[in-house]
Amino acid sequence: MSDAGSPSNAAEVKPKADDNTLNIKIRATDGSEVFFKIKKTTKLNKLKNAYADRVGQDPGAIRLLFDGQRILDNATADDLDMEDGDVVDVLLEQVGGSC
Amino acid sequence: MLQRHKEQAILSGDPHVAKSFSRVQAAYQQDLTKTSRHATRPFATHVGLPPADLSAALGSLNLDNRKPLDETLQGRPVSKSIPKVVKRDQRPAAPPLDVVKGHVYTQLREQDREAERQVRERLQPRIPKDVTDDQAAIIEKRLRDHAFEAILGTATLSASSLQRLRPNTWLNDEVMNFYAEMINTRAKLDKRPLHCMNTFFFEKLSSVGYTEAKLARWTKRLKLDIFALDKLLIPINHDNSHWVCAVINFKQRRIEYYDSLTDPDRRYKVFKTLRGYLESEHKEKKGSPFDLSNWRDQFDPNTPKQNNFTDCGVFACQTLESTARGRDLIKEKFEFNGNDMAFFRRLMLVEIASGELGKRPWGT
Repeated sequence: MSDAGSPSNAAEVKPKADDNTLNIKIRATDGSEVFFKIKKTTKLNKLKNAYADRVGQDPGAIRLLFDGQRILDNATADDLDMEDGDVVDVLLEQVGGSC
Repeated sequence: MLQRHKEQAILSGDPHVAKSFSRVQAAYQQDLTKTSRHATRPFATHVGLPPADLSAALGSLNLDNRKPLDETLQGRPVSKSIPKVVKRDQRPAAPPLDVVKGHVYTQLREQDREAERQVRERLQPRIPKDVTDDQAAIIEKRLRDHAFEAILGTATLSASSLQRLRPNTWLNDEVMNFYAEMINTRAKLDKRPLHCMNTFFFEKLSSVGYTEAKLARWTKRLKLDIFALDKLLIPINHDNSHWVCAVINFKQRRIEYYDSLTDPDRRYKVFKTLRGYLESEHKEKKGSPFDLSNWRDQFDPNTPKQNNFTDCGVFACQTLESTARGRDLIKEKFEFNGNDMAFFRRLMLVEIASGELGKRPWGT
């Protein structure tokens, strides 16, 4: 499974790029990047689950952020005015209690 | 009994004593009529009964329960102190009148101020030990609801994150960010120029950097000009194990840092990072360098501390909340301490369940 341009297995995929799909880059804090092609109308929790699947993480511990705002599970790319090539930040759950 | 003998002796004896005794008697009787007048008047005016009922009510009250005089006088101490007479020319000279006046005025003013302070302190509500019974019922219901999900703006909080508000549990980013969102919602309603960032802001800023993390887009998406704010609030997670918070105070030109544990000098990096952020953001948005020359880094090592290894998130949330409410924590100090955190966990549960911050009658 690979990166740029190629359709990923788990995300909503369409072989041919049209007006209805976007290429989205998911970038982690450590700099690693994964590309997905998504439908504009797909709920983005699918993207989260696909990413979690890819990196072997619990989807419950994954936070997707677009321009600093948490992406809600039932939001779509359309809702967030995402454009082709946009970057989605991925962060992991943060916890804290003491040093 | 002894008193009675004394009385009789007085009455039968010296005519001067008898005279002064009758004076006392007269004064006492006058006193009694005064008291009964005062007793009836407020009763009639305040209770507002119709006149017919009034006399019946008065009768039933049995106001006239006075005892005979000698019985009442029994047990009264006989004053023995006789003022010492000092001759006029032996008295020390009185200070000038205006000095006395000034002194009396100052004293009265001080007394007044002290009385006012005491009254205010008595009237000032304290932080309660627990939430009300109604709120406790809500908490129980929400904690048992496995399908619980709260959404406010772009903050979302799941059932498992809610469980983290139980005692002795670490808070996670969902709780912190939901709280931040509630602070922002209230600030918008109150038209306070402040904003609370989410917990990912500092992580991105410190680990990836302003440009690389494209933090300019964060404030653009929020349509936020941070330089028009009074305060920018920043919850910070250290090493995925500790919550603290910082406040960029534009009005006072200072960066405040609050840690509910003893800070192992992590504040220096935070001050440096946030100063860097102000410079980068100003350059990006305003096109000119930001003047940080008269800005202070503010840190008070004597702020209240957590008395366990779990409450830092609650501390950070409440510190941000009181700052957002307008309290100057540097000047006015904290309203709470480590012992109040059990209550604040419960209050936060109620607040998250209702989606808005509660009133804080103990706050200023």
